[in-house]
Amino acid sequence: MTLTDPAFIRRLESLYLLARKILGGSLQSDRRSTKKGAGITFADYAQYSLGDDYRSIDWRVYAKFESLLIKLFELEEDATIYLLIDCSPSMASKHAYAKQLAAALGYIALNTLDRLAVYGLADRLQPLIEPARGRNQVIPFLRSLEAATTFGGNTDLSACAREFEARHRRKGLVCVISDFLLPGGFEEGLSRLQWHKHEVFCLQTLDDNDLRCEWKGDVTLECVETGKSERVTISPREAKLYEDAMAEWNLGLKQTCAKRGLGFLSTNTDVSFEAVITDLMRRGGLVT
Amino acid sequence: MSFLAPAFLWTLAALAPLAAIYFLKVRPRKKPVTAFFLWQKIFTEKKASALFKRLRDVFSLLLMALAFAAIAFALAEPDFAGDERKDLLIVVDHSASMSAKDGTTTRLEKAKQRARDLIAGMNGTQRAAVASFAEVTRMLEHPTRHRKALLEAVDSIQPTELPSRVEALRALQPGDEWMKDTSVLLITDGCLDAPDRLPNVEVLRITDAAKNIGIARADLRSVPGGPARLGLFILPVSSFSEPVKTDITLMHVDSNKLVKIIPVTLQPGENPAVTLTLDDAPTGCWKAILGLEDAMESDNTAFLYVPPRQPVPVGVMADDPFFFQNAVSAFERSDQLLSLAQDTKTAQLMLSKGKAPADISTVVFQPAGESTVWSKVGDEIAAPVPKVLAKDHPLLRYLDAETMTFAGARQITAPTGAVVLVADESGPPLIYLMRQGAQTVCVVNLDPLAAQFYLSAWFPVLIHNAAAHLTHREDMPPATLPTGSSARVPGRADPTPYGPMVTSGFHEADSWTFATSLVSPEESLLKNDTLKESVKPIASGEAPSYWLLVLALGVLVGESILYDRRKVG
Repeated sequence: MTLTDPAFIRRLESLYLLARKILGGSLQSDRRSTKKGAGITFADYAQYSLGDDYRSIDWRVYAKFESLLIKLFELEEDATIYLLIDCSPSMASKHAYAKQLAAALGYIALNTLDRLAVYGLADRLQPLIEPARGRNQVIPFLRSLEAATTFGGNTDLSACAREFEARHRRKGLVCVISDFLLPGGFEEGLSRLQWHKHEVFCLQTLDDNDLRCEWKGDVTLECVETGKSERVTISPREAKLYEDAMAEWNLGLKQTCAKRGLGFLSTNTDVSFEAVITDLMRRGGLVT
Repeated sequence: MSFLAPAFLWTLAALAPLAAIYFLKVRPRKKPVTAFFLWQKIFTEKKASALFKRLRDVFSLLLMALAFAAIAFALAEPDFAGDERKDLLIVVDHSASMSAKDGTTTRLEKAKQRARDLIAGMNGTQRAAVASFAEVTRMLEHPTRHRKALLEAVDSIQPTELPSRVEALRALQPGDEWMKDTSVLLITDGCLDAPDRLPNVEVLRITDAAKNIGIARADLRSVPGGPARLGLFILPVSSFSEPVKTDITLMHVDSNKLVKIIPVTLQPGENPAVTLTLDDAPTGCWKAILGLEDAMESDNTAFLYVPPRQPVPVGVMADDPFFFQNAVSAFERSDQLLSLAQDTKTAQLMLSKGKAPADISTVVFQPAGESTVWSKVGDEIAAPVPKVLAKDHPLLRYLDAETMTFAGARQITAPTGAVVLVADESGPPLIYLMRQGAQTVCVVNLDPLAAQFYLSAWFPVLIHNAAAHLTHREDMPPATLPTGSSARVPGRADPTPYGPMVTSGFHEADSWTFATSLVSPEESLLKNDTLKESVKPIASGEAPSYWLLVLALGVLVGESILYDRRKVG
């Protein structure tokens, strides 16, 4: 099923309706924000402090309690969603799945009138969709996503983050869809994205071949990204060591995200993308 | 080392194409991985040495080459023994001494194992036969290449209580064509009755340090001096290297009564005989037991049988019965063979002069008148010259008939069917036997008075022999017979011997009891260093080809396991 297939789009639409229900917005910027600002919906009171706008002081409260309180309103803004999809050769087996996830997120973003930009990650950053807004951008977005292929070599998240920062100063929600099996590590790249005040969300996409080693014996291991190879003998012991190393790597990613306050969700290609998106919405992962 | 089928060594040449095929065929599969850096980390931690790594790559090839080479050598049949590869006749000694225990096993078991090894060592062209040997030699399996049949024949050999008899091996020396190219292998402990008379056989010795005592000879019989007096004779032997103390227990089996315990100290080798006279000793079955635990139990007991005292009632028909009656009385007092009958009706044997009664066995001296057992009594022979015609006849035992004086002998003619034992040179019979129905008449053609025969030493001898022979008691068996013996039943007219009696103990035969024991110094001493093992090389045990094939199989299994481990994924 292609991304522009009507059936697929219907699935995205269902997902969007569900997202609306969860997010609860229906305005210019349909997504509700946790930030306070100059909206029209009352949010809370706050103690007046020097420099606050006099207009927001609630004089009735002052008349009654002789205390200066200001009224806070929910911020109404149009957010920018950046989807960074890992397009390195290591994602070949998971690329279609990653694109489905990206399609779902992008579809919701465009329908909630957020700005959306999509990039391919590898050893460099490659734009897939320039920043766009509006429901009329959905089909071009899906077509562009569908045409995207894997490219380059080893994923260099740090270099890509640098390039991304050079392109976009505007803060937004950066969703990185990758297997995060990065020989150069992921800390620096994530740190760089966070440094520039982006809300970063890591959506790790793996499959069974990444997690487990089912084959044993004499093999020539070949790196899908660099083409390097090594002739080894894999016994059950080595297979177990690999699975342990993989588990440790993923745990490291999860802990890094938790430590830095980044959103994180790990999924397997066996799980349907709708379930992943629903789960993500319910956990408030994409609320900025 | 030589090869029985060296042509198969050419199969080694196939190793080269095998290696070529291996290198062409066996290459590890490529496996694209996404987390190559994790694999690198794992294999950096356990980096193998370069040499091992290279070896590992060709390890499978080396194992297969080794297995192939082992099969090639197995086909070529290497021979390390230098055996002439003649056909084999394996003779396993299973005489009594082979039952001697050495630890948990016996000599016979060792011998059988040796035989099995020889059978296992046969090559495809050799034949073998299996025989057992003790008192007789029995062919258990005729020449064959069928190993299973040969092994079954070896397994069927059972221990016996029989002494060995080298003469029995001569039955294997034959004019059989097969025997010309056959090695006869005797597997024995060397305890043979006449090792110096062994025929042309190769000897494989079974040796051990078994220690044994045993009864090598035994006898128990009536002795003069009393009506119920028995004389005991025991000859013990010991193969212990030091003197050992033990007891000889004498039991009367019929009454289950312990009669005597005789303490003895046995020196190494043959010991002086233990003799004893027992007064008021009953006849019947006896046992003499040596009470010491040793390597062989069967020679520790001697079974002895003393027949009941039943003298033959003898009647006398003579005008001068004095000497006849005294002769009979003398034997009644000594070996109790004869007793004087109260009247002629109760007599079983008659001593007669001149006449021969028709219905009873009789010894007739000085034949006269008409009789069915002689004819034509003529004139006296002048100076008869006796000539023995049947030298080994029991009636002439201990009797030098040619020195006897046959004064008063008459010209008579023996009837047809008579067995003439001694005759005058001119022809007339001097001593002969004539059968009359169930009875036998012994005619002694001399005048006892003229020949002064009553005063001759031959008189009691002749009376005794004739009485024993005519009443079928000339072959009285000894108190104990060696195991494996056959014996004529005393008192029975049928001369067919009873037996063979292969186990020690008491054997009932009609109205007689035989006692048999393992009484053989050669078997009991368990040691004979004079017999040396043959030095000719003989292949034994599994052939080298067998072990090479086992090696090949093991290597292939190992390679298969490793191959599966490394190739199956």
